[in-house]
Amino acid sequence: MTPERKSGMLALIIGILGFLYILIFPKSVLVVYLGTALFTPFILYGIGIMFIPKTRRRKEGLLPFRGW
Amino acid sequence: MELYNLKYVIDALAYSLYAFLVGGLLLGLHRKIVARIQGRPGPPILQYILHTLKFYFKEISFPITAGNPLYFLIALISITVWMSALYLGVVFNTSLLILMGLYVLQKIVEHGCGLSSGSPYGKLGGVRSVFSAAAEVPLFTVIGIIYLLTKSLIIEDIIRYQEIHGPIIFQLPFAAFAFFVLLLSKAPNSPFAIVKDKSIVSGYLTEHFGILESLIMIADGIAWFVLLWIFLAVFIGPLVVSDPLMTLLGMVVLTSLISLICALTPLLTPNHSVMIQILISALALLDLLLRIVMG
Amino acid sequence: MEEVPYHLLCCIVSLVMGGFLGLTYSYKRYLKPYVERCIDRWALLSAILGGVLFPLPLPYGINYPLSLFLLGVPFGMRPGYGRIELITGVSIAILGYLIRGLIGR
Repeated sequence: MTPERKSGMLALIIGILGFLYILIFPKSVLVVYLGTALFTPFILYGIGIMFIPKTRRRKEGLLPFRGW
Repeated sequence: MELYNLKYVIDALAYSLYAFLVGGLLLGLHRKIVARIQGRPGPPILQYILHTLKFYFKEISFPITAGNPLYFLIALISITVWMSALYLGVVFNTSLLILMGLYVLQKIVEHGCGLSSGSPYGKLGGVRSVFSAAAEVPLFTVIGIIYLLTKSLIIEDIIRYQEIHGPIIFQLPFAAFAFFVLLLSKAPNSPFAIVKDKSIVSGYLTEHFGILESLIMIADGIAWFVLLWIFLAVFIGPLVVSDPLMTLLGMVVLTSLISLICALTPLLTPNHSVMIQILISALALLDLLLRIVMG
Repeated sequence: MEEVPYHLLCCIVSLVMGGFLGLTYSYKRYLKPYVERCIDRWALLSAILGGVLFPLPLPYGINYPLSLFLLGVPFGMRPGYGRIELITGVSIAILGYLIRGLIGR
């Protein structure tokens, strides 16, 4: 697993757990709103990382050679 | 199990989608107006939103010099900062001080963005974002002046004050001008946009490409909406803010004004930009002191 | 607490969708990068339809998103294209709106 995908998986897990928390527990509306602000980017990043095309580089940290 | 909170979550997400779409369209309009003034056809107004979507599906790989996890977390923090500003300012109408704190957090985001990438251009962008913190000094004084006038920093109270006494922009024209300079320094291609100067490639965004850039662009769209809304709410008041359609109209007018200035002025060098901002903040400070002395 | 302007959100989403449609259509249809004074038949039709639809009082205010979707097609077309169409559509919409205001609903 590439580091990008790993970070995406972690972000997705954090995001889903956070959303479950703010859906069930808080009593205050403000906390729900701020929780949404906190966890939405994790979901966005996690979902986005699942959609990116497969990397074409051979070694970690190197960009693929695309010609001169 | 009852999900009371589901409605609030959907409301929150819908509001940020709205803010992003409006902000993105306005930034597209900004580019279009600048291009037309410079005699170019310019991209379609949708271009900002299209770019965001395009970058969202691009391949990325973390550069070998990048300092993870800050490198990718900083893009997420950027969205969190501006979504919180949207909710605290626009939805709940809380204090101006919290919004100022969030604006300072934005500087930390820019700085961290540049420094975590490990690229010299990114680092220069980060350093320049620290210089351009000079743009926030007027903000402090503006908030002081507004407090002296309205005796409150809660946005709701400020709007209510204007219902009775009329728009603040006529009573505090210089404070409005200083806040307008802050808006201007956040706009792309403005004379104060030293952070995104093309001589340092893309500034702090240089190494944030693909989905990370897309996330930062989402945050920038929301930020544009929030900053314009704050200007309209604090200085023009219920005349504009009470009706969302009027708010949109006011935002379009403000964006056109800012684009006009951006198209007609050259980019200042960092030292000149900081000098002018410090000058404006000194004048605003003088205004504040005069008001305190006069009572 | 501020209410979410869901109606405006619908309008803007449909405008953006129409813009995407117009952009893909104009990129498929035309190869030249920038041409002035060229009228596209379908975009003109869509703009006029959108302009006519704008002042019609349909139930739930559904006319605004629909007409903005149709106006969005010339709005989103590639640079140089769809200008005259957009101006035509928007002026029809404004005229219709003013006439509706004069008649009183």
